[in-house]
Amino acid sequence: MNERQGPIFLDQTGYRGRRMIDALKILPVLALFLWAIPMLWVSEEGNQQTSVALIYLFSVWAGMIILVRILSRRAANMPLDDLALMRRYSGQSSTALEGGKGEP
Amino acid sequence: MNVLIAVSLAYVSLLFLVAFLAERRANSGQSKWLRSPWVYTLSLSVYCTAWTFYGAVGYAARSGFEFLTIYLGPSLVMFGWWWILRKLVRIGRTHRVTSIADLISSRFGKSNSLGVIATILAVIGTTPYIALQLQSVTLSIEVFAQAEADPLGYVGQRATAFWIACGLAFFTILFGTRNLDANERHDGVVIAIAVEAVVKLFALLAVGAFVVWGIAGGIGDMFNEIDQSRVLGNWRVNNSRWAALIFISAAAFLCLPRMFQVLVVENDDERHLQTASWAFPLYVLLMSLFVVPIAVIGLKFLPDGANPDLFVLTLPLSMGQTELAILSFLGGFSSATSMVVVAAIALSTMVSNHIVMPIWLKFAQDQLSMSGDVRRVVLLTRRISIGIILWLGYVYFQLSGGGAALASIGLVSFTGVSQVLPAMIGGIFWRGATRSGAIAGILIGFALWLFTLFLPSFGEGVVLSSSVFHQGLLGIGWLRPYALLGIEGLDPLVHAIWWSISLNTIAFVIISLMTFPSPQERLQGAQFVDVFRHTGAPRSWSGRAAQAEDLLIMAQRILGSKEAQTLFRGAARRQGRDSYLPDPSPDFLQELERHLAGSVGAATAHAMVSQIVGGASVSVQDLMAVADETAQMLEYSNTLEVQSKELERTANQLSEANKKLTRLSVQKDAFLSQISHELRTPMTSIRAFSEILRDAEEMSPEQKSRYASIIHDETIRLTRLLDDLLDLSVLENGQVNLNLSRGNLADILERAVTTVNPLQHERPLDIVIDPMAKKIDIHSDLDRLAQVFINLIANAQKYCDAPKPVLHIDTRKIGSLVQMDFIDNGKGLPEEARDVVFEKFSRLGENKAGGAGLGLAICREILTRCGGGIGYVPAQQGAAFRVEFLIDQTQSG
Repeated sequence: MNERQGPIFLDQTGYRGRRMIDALKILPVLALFLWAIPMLWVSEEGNQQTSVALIYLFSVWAGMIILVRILSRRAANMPLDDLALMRRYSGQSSTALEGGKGEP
Repeated sequence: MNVLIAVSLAYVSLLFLVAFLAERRANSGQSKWLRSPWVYTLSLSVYCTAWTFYGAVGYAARSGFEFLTIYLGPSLVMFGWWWILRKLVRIGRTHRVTSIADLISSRFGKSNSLGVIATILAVIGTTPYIALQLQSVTLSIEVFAQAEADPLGYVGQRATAFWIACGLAFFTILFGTRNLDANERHDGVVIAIAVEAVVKLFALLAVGAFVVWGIAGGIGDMFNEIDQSRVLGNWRVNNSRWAALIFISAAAFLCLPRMFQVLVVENDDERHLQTASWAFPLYVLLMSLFVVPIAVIGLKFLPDGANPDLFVLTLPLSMGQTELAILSFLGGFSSATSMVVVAAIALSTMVSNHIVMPIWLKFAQDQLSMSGDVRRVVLLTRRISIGIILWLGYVYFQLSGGGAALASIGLVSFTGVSQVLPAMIGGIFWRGATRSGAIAGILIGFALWLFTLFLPSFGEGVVLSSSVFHQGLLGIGWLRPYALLGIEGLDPLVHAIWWSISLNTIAFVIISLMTFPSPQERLQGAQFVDVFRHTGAPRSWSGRAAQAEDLLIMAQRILGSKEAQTLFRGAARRQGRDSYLPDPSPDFLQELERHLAGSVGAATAHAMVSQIVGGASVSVQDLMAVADETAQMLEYSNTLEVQSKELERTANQLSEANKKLTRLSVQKDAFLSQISHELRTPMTSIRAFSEILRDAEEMSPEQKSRYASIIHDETIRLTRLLDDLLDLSVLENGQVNLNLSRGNLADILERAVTTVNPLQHERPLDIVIDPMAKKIDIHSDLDRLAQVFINLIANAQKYCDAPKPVLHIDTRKIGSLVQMDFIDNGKGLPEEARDVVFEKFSRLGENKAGGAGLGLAICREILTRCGGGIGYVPAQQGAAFRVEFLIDQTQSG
């Protein structure tokens, strides 16, 4: 998938669609980052209110769930296949890549 | 106690019923709702076992907030579905992967040694986990027994665990090995698990709500309680454990055999992932929402010695909420049972596909193309494996004494199964990964896990002596299980995860870089890594010597005759042939191998096909297809491929048509002389006897009547012949109208049998009619159908050459058609006769049994008029004719 065929500049919907998938790909990294933050908390007696910690962790969790839901919904309108994606957003048919066979 | 038993039994029966109904619906083709994204999401909840249902609270009470990592890891994997899961599911579906061992084995050149290693690792890693489930159910039953102080009503820990293990084995065998599905999918089990998922979530939420609003008095008060708690009021999390546990639970989520089973193998539609990507994290969020409140309140209100692992149960019980406690018991029971059932199915598939089948293949070298059903062997080994796996779990539970040693086994098990992670991730993203690299990585990781985590988990002096703990293996100081290379002070679990996974990965990468993969490996590697690009697979078979008929026999033994025949028929049609046997082209062999792999795993399927075909060969073209990176080359070769395929198909059709024409012309000539002969013989005798009657002067009345009756018989014979000819030409011209009436299929068959009266002949023909026929009422031209049956039965009577001829008539309904197979036990038709037998005037051999050879041609015309057809099915015990016609002629549209 290094060299994609098709135009270098996409139309607006195609461009949006690709960025949507980029966002979906970066989400787990964001989640990992936010859940790594508790490792910075210093544990001193009575310093940290654990209810706040609990609210923080669960809010990140819920927030990520909502974000993934929104982005996955958008992605639901797109073909799952990289190839088909490419075809769809480059406006070029590439039957040549598909070959003559379907799934077995 | 009695209430508990009654409720449990009722619940178990409900699960059986649900599973049974789901299987029935799936079999009747109404499985759409069974396969919704919601059911898929709920089935993923086998991740939440009894260890997380009961244990999370205990974990929180002992070690604070660390328990959350067990849920955060899988959530991360689901959030990142676009990266890994999407690819895994696609590979799983394209290559019909049956288990995680199958995935690894298939990726690295269908290597069976890798399959065996991964299977053994999975069994060792999972057995303690099953023991843990048995323990949790036993303990929870004990809680009720103690609460009622009723020692007589309680039969004891061992017996409880034993009966639970038996019950689970029964359920798993019943619904997990019902059939050998080509896709390895189990509708009944999946639905039962989805129901259990709802029950356990509901139970935990109910207990949580009771704790927050019933005991603590609201959310605000609950937060106060948490902040004032001695154990949980302070954020004390070991950072290295926090990171390591998130990593290992994410890894285990992908690598656990049961998770792979529900995530990949049971997946019905890739798009379900889109829903599960947020819905499953939501599920585990809800599962962990009330863990801290329950732990805090439990620590506050229950006596000091109370086992925090059972707070979910003892807290409502101590507050007098027996109903809630029973609900919570059902939740824990659900968690334990669903895990055990899925794990047993996944493991038994691995054991039968990667250990038993290869051994069986070795011993059954030349028997593959003999008849008999291999499916029974496979199913039997799976059933036995399920029994053995549960028995191992039970034995482990007994040996470990059900003590605290088991409680820590969850993470030990996670780390063990995660040792396949580098090989799996490397295998699907890196084409340079090789078999040797994978074997080296997994073995090193496995050994390190055994030495630093699994064996020490039994305690000092049990398996490893205490001198090993303090002085190191063989007295070498840097070989201490908790301080490899002399690095001390690490948490033992973090230590084990760090060293096993890192050295595993390093070995995997270095050995992969140093070794050279075989062609088969490179092909598979390219197909796995570029699964989204290669919609069509490169070929890897050259079917020179392959015998299509042998392949069909083997396929029938594994897939079942119906499915195998459909597969072969479809392939033959695509090749432009009108028969049941396709050319053993590389494409077809590839397709066949994948179908077989869905039942017995990639490595075994490959071995089976190569035993018949005589070895796989990877051609230069295949390697070029792998090496070709540019789309242009692909485009070019694809166009060529498409064209040459089309040419091949046309050429096939032409040559087949040509052959048929030649044979027809020969037949026509033969017929003409035949028909003149047929007409001439009676004519001659009629002429002779009528001349005698005319010329003889004196003749006794007896003689007269004898000659007259000969003349009469001969004219009848002539009339019959002419009738047949007329009949056929009328049928062929489509001038005939069907006389529709209603009737039972069995009655018509009975009538046909009586007409032929096969027991009166010198070699009596035994006819076995499928009782299914009684259940089918048809609306068609009954006389015409009877004519067909009479013809087929009479043929069997005439041509079946077995010493004791038997004709089986099998009947089934397929959609709006009735399908009947007339199978005798003779030698069957010779191959060259198979496609001309339905033509006019074709007869087997010489005029041995009389008749003009019009019968089957008439049958074919009749059945075509009745909306069906007739065909010859090869590779049965004897000659087999398949007849199809519409059940209700008026609805033919």
